Amino acid sequence: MIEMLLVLALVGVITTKLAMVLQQASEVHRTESSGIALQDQANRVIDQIAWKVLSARRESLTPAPEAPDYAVRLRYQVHMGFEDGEVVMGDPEVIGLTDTGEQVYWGLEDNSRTVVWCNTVANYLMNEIGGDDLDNNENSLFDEAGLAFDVDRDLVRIQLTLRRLLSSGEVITFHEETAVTCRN
Amino acid sequence: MLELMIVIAILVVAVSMFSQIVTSTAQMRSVSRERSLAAEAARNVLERMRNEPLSDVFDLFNASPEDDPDGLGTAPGHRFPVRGLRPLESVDDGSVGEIVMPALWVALERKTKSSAGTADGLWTLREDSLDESLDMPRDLNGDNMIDALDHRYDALSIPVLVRIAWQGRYGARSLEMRTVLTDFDLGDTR
Repeated sequence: MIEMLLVLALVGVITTKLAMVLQQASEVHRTESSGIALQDQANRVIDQIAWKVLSARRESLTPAPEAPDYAVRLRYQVHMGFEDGEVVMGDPEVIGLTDTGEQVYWGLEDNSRTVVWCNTVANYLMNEIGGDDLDNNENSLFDEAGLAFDVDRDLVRIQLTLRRLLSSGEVITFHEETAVTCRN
Repeated sequence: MLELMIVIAILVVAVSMFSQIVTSTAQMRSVSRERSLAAEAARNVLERMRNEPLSDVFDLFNASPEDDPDGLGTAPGHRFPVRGLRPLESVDDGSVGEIVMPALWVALERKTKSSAGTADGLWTLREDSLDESLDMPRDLNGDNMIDALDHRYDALSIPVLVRIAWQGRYGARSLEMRTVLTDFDLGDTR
């Protein structure tokens, strides 16, 4: 009888521990999944921006700020081909942050088409503290927003930080950056 | 009693399997993240090379600081660090990335001691390099010949290999990316 009680107590302890481990693992998994989803989103958006910039004509980029200046919105035109020996350019397009600063969008300059690519942009790039007029994250930009473009000749550096508030109250952020040269 | 022991054994096996799955998922995520950082760094380096005039690429990104266009040691050079990746223990300069071009070291006839204290000579961009990873030897300046001259200033294409080797959380890892840089603007540069 005593053995049976001991075994039951042991099973009870093990089961409780197991339940706690499973609960913790579930929470970690949820946070990890959200992190992976945010990372995927950042990768996808930065790739979308990079492909657009890559096919843009360098002379059509406006503004084209050099660090420490930066832009949150780029206007550009894509080289469509040639007709009668003349270069044919596409309609002016825009990529950047919306006025609220939380969404990255692509659209035609005349607003006839607009697509929001993501709506989880952080207020500032990762490790940057806004309003202190310092380059906290040592990327040569000061107090830059969650999406920042800067240009060095044909090279466009694109930096993006996404931020998401989880239901547990935890905030996760993910930063992605790339640099592409305009090919046209 | 026997049933309880069997249940406990099954529980132990199930827990150990579950913990193994959690651990291996975490490992995969870490490896994937490291690889993503390496790939992005390699792409960035290639884009930075593409941003330079082709006639400056070899001088800017070769192993010699003596031929840097803006003066000794001012160019990025052929090795670079990557934020977020640890260098291999065998590397003492803290870099994880390396740029490889078809370069050959040529000893200078004139015996002068270089300011960098290296042996007398210079790195040259050569068509007769035997580097198979760059698909060499091959014609670089478009004259349909493979010669033994330095083509850093008249090459129309330069094959480039970017190699990233780092000490990952679960062992040494590496990634290579190859491309050919070309000069499309033939009219005003040749």
